[in-house]
Amino acid sequence: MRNAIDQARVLSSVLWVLVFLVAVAGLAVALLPPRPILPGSEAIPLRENPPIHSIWSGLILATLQSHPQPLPTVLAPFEEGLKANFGYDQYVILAETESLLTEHQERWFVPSEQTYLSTRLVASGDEGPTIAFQVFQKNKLLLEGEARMVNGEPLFIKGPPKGHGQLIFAIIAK
Amino acid sequence: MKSADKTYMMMVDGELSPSQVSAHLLKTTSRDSREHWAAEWRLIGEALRRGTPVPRQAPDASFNAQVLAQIRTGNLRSEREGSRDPGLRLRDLALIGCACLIFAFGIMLSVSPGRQHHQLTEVTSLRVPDANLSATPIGREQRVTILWTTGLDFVADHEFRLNSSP
Repeated sequence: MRNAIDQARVLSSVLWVLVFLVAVAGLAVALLPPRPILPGSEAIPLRENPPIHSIWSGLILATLQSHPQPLPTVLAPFEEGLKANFGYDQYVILAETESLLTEHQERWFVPSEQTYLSTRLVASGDEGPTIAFQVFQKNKLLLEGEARMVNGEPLFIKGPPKGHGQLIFAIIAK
Repeated sequence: MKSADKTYMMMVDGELSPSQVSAHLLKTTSRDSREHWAAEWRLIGEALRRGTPVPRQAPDASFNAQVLAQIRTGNLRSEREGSRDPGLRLRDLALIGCACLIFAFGIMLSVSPGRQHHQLTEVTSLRVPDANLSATPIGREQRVTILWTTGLDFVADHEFRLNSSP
């Protein structure tokens, strides 16, 4: 009888250690930040019938106003980030367009001859497309690059300053 | 063995007749002591022949008290150990259940769509041809992605004109 009790106690202790380790592992999984995705690891190469991605592009004018207008609906979720980084209190969409991107298709967004951009689909992923972009000012290429878009999460590109404000390009994959 | 001792042994064993016993005792001792002595030896001899067990000696009171105390203590321990189920008790099961809930909650948080939704758009490559210009991705602290440029030419209000169809 005493041996059985001792064995039960040892078994209970071992079980508790296992339960503790499992609980710690669960908390660690919950609290650790999501695993960073290496460039290209989630991108799916384009196939013969690639998915079509809807890309919204807009040109925003940010200014300081005594009575600022509320942000447009499409920008409202990012109000805190815009104001914290650009420092303006009014963000108005001067021009916008929504286009469908497929393989090798390049779309131009030319709201003004002063500044404009092009987008091109590079790869398609579960979270969103990877696009190549170019920003121009008066026919001069300012910058170019690629961005792995997350659907609904914008890419803002600080454009040239204008008057007392700031021009900003916005690209959102939908 | 001397003859007297042999006679004693035969007397104890009951092998002598009463007359032989009397004759032997007459030769060795006085009358009273002989009769008393003979009677005792007869009783002893008869008892041995009947195989009567040796009377047990009762242990003293302190010994009994010690034994009873040990038995009582042992019984109490056995009762305590008997009341403890060697298997899992309700409290153990409740705590294990709580730990499993914590584990499940962690798994749920890690795979929930809301958590994955917090991934941000990421600039994976960037090239700025003009050395006077620069561009840097910022804003992840505020959960936005901003490509911050510097060195771009100012656009005057009178120069800026929107196209009718962008």
